[in-house]
Amino acid sequence: MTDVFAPRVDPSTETVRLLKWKVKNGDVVDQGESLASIEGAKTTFDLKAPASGKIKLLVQEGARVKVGTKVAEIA
Amino acid sequence: MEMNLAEAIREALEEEMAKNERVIIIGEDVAAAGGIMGVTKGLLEKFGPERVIDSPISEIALAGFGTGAAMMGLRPVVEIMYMDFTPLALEQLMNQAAQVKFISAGKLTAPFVLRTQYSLGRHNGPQHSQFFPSFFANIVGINVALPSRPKSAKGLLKQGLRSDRPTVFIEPSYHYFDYTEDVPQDDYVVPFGRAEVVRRGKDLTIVALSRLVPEALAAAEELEKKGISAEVIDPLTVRPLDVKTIADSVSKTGRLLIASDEHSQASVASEIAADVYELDLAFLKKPIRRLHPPEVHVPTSPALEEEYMIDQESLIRAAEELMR
Amino acid sequence: MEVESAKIDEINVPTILPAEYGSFGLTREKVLSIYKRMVLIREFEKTAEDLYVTRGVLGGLSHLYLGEEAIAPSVVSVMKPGDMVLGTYRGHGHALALGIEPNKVMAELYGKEGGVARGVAGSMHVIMDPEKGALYSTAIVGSHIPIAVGVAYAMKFYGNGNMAIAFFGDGTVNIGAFAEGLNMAWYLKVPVLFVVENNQYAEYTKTSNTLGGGSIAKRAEALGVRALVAYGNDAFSVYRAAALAEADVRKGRPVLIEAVTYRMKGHNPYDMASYRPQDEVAHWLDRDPIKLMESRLLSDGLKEDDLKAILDWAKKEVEEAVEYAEKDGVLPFDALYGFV
Repeated sequence: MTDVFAPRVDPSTETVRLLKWKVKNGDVVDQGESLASIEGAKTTFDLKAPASGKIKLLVQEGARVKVGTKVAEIA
Repeated sequence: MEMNLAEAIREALEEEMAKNERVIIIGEDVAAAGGIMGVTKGLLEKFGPERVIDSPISEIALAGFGTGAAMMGLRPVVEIMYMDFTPLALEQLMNQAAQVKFISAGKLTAPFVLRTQYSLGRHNGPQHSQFFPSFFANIVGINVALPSRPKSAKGLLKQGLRSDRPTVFIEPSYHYFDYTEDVPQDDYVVPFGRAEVVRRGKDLTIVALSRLVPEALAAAEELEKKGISAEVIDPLTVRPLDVKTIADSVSKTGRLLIASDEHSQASVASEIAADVYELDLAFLKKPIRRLHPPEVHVPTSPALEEEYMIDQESLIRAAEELMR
Repeated sequence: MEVESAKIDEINVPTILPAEYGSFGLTREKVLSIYKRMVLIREFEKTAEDLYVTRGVLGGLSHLYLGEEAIAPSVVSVMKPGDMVLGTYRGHGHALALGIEPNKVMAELYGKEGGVARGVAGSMHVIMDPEKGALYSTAIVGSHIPIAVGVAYAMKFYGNGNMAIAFFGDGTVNIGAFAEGLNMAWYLKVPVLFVVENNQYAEYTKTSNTLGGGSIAKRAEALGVRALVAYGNDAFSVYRAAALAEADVRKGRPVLIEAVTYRMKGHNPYDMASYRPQDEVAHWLDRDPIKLMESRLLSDGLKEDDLKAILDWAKKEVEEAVEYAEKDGVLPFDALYGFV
């Protein structure tokens, strides 16, 4: 199983917002596929799948999370 | 031996260069011309072009050169012709030279001497007369020396060439040639961080920076005739700054006058005032007084410049006000 | 010095032809050692990206060498003991190329006391191990250039035949310290080699848009410094340039090598580099310096298994470095007073 983390999108921003999921819970995703838009202080980051498999979403759209929080799992 | 300030500085350079073959000098017109005011005259002939080097007009490169050469064990003396040009080199000094020891976690140092002069009083105008030691005194990791008179200047420069920190050495060219003092011929250093009580007194303490030290001494002579006994202190270095000597004096006299060619806001004089104040308010009989030039740039016209500058008269007036 | 050159891809100036095996001291052993360093740097930087961005374990500024791995290892392989490297905030590759242990570099990123600068200086200052020739790095663009001139002057003064090498990026050629430093190097006739890692972008701005005169090499020549252009993604081309430059440099004739390359990712790991056209990115990703080295090594008789062994070694080094850094302690604050 591969964990998907909330990335650091600016050098010193400690929290990010999961703006929008681009896949649904239970979807089968390919490695490199766009999973979500993550918003930092000044930038929007395209979160890509680190592996292929079935994705389980762990965080709601719109949620603000600490950098490094697990936001999904891919099995 | 009797010599003036310029000669004392040259003698320090000559002696150190003879003693330590790693001491080199670089700057604009320092070699063939012997310096625009002759301070380095004769040194090229004595020590050769590898050790006394004329530089292109490149202050960033001069300060960087000093940093790099010092990191490799040479002892460069980098001359920047007028203090007004030193901000060009400030980045190298504060971000690089002053931080080499920090960035290397103590493994390396960059101890070069940056010599410069301010020519207030020579009618050279607003961009060739400024005095702003506070820019440098605020930098952690360096020394800032204000040589004021021949004997202490020679010892301070020797100390700078043996220190393991970069040293900024700011000379008042106003006094390069106008009087002589007896300067010892032996190898002596004047340590940094030790202020000199150049005249003992009991009624008030005058702390004078750089060019104003001889003026303060002359003012003290006049004040004596009026029954006011002034103690005159020359800090010699503003980083490290010897607050204790000044505070000890003020605890005795209760009155402090600080005289400096800097503009008053955020000056070294305000630093001294804050340091003394922090130590003990109880011994002050009157508020600390700072004497500075007016809040304008230095005018070129001789008459206007004379009015701009602090002199014996303004020092006497300020001292008398403090005694009321 | 005469150099044979040709046009390569979109680099519109004559570019040094790659060295052949056996020429310029390029032995099989040397090639392998350069390749190992390149792979180690690649794995280290990929892990750094993961730590800074993907998992957000580390924060603050860092600048990765991904895509430029051919340059530092090739240039430093012509160094002799006593030579010194000065570099910039994009210095992980140089530190590792000079043989600084990955543990120490990683600990520095983590701010731990086992780091190259006891954790005090961080990612932007990892070129720090004078005994290995890693003298200094600066976070201020170009400031190390005149410092390198001073270092080289001292080397000339001592007469030990050493040279200083200053690495920097293409954006640096517009800063004052570049012009002053190169001119001073020419004037003082000092043994300094300048290496421009021209990844064609100065932070987010395409360098050619702001480069008066249109050529870094020409600007160097105008300042009195002989310039060679190398194909930065081909270690053999960079190596040849360095080998050619070395003799002149040690005699006090400074040389600038412009190594044309490309960042695989952004200026820092948080920068998505969306200002770069997709086709340009794809073009250069296709010219991966490591893959280029691999095809040479394979055609020279190395096996895929040999390459895999090197990759496994590199991955293990980096894994251990992360473990080391994670377990390491932080310097007590009072120690900082000893560093001023």
